[in-house]
Amino acid sequence: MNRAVSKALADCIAEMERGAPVEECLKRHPSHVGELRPRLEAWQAMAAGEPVQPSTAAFERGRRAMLNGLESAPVRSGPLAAARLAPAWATVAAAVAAFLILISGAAGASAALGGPDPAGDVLSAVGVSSDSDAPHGGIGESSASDRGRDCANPNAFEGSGNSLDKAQNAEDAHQKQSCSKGADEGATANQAGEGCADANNGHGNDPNHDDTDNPGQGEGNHGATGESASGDCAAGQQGEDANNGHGNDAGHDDASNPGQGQGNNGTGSNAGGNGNPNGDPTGNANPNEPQGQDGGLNKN
Amino acid sequence: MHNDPAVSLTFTVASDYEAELVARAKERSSKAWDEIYARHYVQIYRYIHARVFDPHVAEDLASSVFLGAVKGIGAYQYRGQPLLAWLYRIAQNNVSSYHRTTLRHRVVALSTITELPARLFGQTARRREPEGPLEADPGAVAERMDLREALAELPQAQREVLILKFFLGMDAKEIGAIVRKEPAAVYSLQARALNSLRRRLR
Repeated sequence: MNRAVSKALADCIAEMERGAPVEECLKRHPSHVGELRPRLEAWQAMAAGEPVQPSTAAFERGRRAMLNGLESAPVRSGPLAAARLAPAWATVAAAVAAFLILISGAAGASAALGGPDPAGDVLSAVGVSSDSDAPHGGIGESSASDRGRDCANPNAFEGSGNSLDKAQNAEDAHQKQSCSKGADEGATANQAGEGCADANNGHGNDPNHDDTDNPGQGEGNHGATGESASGDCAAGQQGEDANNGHGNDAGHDDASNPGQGQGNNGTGSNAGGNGNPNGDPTGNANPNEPQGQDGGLNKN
Repeated sequence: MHNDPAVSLTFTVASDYEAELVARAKERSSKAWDEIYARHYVQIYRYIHARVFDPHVAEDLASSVFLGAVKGIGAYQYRGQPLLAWLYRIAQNNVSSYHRTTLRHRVVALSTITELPARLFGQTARRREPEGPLEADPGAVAERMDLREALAELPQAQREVLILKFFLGMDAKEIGAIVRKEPAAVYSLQARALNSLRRRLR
């Protein structure tokens, strides 16, 4: 059946629905009578058929089932119902917000525990902390930790690596007691105490304990100074350069360990910015550099 | 679609009434549900019967449509479309589920085959003189065709407009409101359906 016949058939169906007889429709389409007539008469016959009727019993059964279902269906009222009736966009927005909160919380916890720092990675990836010409700190660096690691001398970096073990440091209650009043903000476990000559001696800030008691601390000294191999906080107490390994004493320009301050900065243990004020460019000890604080915040 | 003011007014009043009926149904008014059931049960039953060709199955499925409506009314939002359109879609889904979960739809009883042509072509066709294959005696037609399968083989849109027309007695405007098409598109679909059906019933 070609398109013209289909169109004529549709026209005829419309006319017949308005009450026109078949013959009248056929008169309008004389060229298609042969094709239209059997179809239209079949159509007319189908329209004249008696419709099926459900039984009264079935009608009543269905009605009772529906009313029973109405009684047993859960009632939707109150705040929960309001939530169900909330616009779809509100539900989606709430779900997205909850997801973001969870993700950011998990990322923060991960970074605080010394694990991966997805938030920092994302920021780096999108260029918030992209590379710049300023090699040591400033806006251009990718992250404070990276800056510290890049700029510190290797010893200092080792110390900072040890300081990453925050769980170990944090669990050392003894350290917290003896080194509780320090200048460090970023790492609680590394807070320097009054009893410690070098408040920023990386990690082992308790002058009364060996590394064996506070292995995380002592190791920090080892790594940072290379001279405090005994593991005590003795570097400062024994009159040695209090900035050994860290360069955190504002009154000293640690020429022998110029880069160590950055090591601490990098690890966050010197988040207070106790860098070498003399600004040895190799040590990156400028106390105003933000990387120390940033590093500390990243890890805590 | 509703250029005639009288038609528009009628449609608006009916629409307002249905909106209020739906609101009462959402508040679990048994009277509202009774009214919905009384207004639409037969149409839903006929639609389902035209799809399954079994009165008992049609009764069960029709009942399940209204149970489903009771459960789903909370999520339903009346937007001016006839309430029947929503019930019809529930019925479509229930029939589809039925067809998926049973093999009975492949078994055609002889009584069904012979009963349907009589229902479709009715007394008018029987009294008429034979003029062609479809105009012959319906009993003879029944012997050589499986109308049920012919309907089932139609494209869904064509099948639906035929069922709504001949089993529910709707005109093109009512069908259009259900299947969301303009009346002209409904006529066109019906013409194509008729042509397809005629080929299959030959």
